[in-house]
Amino acid sequence: MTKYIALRVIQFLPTLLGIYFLTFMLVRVLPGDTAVILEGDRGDDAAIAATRARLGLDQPLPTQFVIFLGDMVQGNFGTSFITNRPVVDMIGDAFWPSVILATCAMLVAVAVGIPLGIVSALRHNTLWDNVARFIALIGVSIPVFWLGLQMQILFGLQLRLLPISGLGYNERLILPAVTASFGMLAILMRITRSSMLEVLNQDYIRTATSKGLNRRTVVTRHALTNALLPIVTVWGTGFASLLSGTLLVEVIFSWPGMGRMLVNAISQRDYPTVQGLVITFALIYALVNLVVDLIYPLVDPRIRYS
Amino acid sequence: MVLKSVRWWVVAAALAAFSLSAAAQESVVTVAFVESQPNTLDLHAARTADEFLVLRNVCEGLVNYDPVTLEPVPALAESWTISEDGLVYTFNLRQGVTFFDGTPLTAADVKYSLDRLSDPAFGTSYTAGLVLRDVAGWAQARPTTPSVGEGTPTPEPIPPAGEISGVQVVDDNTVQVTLSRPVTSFLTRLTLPGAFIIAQGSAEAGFANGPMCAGPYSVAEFVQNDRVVLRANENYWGGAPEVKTAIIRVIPEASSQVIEFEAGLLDVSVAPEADLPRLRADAQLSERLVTIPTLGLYNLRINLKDPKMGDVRVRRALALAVDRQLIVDTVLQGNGVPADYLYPKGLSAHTGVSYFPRDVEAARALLAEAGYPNGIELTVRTDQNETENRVLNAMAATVADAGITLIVSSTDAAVYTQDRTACTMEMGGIRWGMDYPDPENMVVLLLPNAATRVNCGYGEVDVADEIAELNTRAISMPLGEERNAVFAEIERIAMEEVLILPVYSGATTRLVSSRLGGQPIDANGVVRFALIDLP
Repeated sequence: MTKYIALRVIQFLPTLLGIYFLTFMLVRVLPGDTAVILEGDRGDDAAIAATRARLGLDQPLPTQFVIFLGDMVQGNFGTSFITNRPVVDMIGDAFWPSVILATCAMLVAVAVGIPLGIVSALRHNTLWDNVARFIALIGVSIPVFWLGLQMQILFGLQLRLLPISGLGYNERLILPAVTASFGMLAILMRITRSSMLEVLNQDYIRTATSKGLNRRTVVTRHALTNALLPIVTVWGTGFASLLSGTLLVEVIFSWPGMGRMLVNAISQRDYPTVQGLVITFALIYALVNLVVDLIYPLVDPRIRYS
Repeated sequence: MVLKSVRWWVVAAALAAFSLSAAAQESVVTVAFVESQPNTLDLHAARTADEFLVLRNVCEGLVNYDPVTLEPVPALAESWTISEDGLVYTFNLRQGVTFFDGTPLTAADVKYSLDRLSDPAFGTSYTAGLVLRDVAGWAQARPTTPSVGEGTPTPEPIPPAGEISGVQVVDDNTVQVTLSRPVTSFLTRLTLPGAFIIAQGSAEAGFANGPMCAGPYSVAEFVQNDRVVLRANENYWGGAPEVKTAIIRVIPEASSQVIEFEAGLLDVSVAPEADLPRLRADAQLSERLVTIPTLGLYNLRINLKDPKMGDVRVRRALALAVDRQLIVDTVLQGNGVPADYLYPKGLSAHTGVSYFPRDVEAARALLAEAGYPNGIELTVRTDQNETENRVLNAMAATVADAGITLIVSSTDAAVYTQDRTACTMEMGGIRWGMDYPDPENMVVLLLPNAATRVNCGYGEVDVADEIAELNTRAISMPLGEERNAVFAEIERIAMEEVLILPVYSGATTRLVSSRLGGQPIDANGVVRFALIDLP
């Protein structure tokens, strides 16, 4: 097992270097120049040149690549062009808000989406099923932006039950987490439903039922455990994408997460911050994928890593 | 089971939320940042409105502006004298002023602050140039910046890095600033955040907890991307402020700010143009709207080297064809005034002359004369600012009456700024907010001293020398009618040649809670907590 994890980590290193190279090139291929943005309409050519030199943008590309690679190996990702703070500190500020919001949203999605999917599959083609499928349809098609504002108006302004926006690891989490959970909830519900339907038609379910097991045991012990594999896969990608920031939710609820930070950094051409964030996202995806792969053998004993 | 515990959690949280209603405590005032968030609280690097909002409540310079008239008034300097030739300013510091940590203000702090601003490693804000470019020793402190003055400056001994020789300590309570040329606006420019005074050596501790200043508030908490909390400075020389705690929250989405305001959780909120009709129709909220004109001018920078736009008849035709009133009434919802001149209302140099009253027939005639009897196709570039795009589209609709097909091309701000600097366009929109209330800060739009204007041919037009010469004369004249007359002459020349195309002067509309008395927002559009009276 340890060997397997070590192997995965080693395999990931070239991928990381490739991602780093691509990000490095992509932000520089983008038209627009940080020094010009900073100096705007007020600076002359000399001021722009001085700013470019201060930011190290006057160096040849290979030199810049090596400098930033050095920063990355040291784990600090360099200094932001815009805030003059170490990028690693800025990511540190945005990391926990993103992780906690994503985790709460994921918990809501799992707690609602999976039971809804199971009910839907068990009550196949009934009113229950239709209601659950309708919720899922709304979940995937409703624009997050609109949903968030409506939740703010309903729960924050009219009912005065919940805070409207801002960071806080308390009741302030509820609206953003519920809003962010909708998309993943819908997908989890759909995959649970279809996966369960497939399993429920298998011979061993009929066998289990006919040997006299009660319905509850059949569903939880035999059907659900076998239906879980695709659910875990979908859960993994959904969670990783929540972790790497839910831009719209962060903007509406003034949540200082990594999604908003990335968009700001791109629009201001803050190269070190963009690079640092993309590397962080790559690490998050790799980690979540590794966790998913480690969950597989627990769900399905036929899968084994040696 | 899982469902049950979730339900319990929601109920518990909802109950906890009730305690929030008590948040509107008496001496606490909560507002929101206007654009997004401050990137830094280092006053020598600060360049955005959000950064200035914090700094103007926390710090002060030798002089400050009057919140109503915007004239320079004594702040950390109690008084000053100006030598007869207008070159030497002697500031007498206010007695008994202390920084937040209790250390008294001395002349050394002033020298330290302005030295650091002159240092290219720290003074990265554009305010450095605005404050210090006419102070003796600037050319040596910033050798890459070509000197603007006439002739080559006499060689001076090179000062140690990070020092500006024109600022000298006379004694503990006196500072002398020597200028390289007499400029009347120097005092006004000293009110810029870059010129604020911090305690000697305090920058070494960083600015994570705000600068070590002597203003009415200190930074109690700076949570990145979330909020800045200010605490009243009970020892402030101007008297302890009534508002004891000021919270400035980061709420990037304007609609969310309005919702927070309606719920009573924000005392000042932006009022976006899109929400204005609804807010004005609301009996209670309409009472809470406060509009403050901004000193500035939305105008089009014109590429004078372009074959089409290089013809003054085409420029004039376009300027005459725009229906500015319609744009202000519809797109801006009355949030601004039409402008067809250079100096915005509110400046003493504002002449009241209307240079481009709408005249579609005259515009057609000018176009025909310029060789476009069947109309002309022009392109204007802009970034993705929503208001600006709507303004330009409305403009395109109105100039169509004169046979002008105006194509609006909008791109990402970074791309637009780059193209504008290189001037690879026929014309482009500029939201010019004045840095300080002096007409010279409008004239810079005509001078070829920035890359954007050099590349657009502003140094090569026939009237360039005349404008530069008039400007050099005006900036050293004492404030008053005579100086304004020279600036008025610059305006006349610039508008005659249509060097820029003025469209409107904007205004900011805010929602201000009824519990805030006094003057919560100064004439510069900045929330000043120390000016708020609470009932």
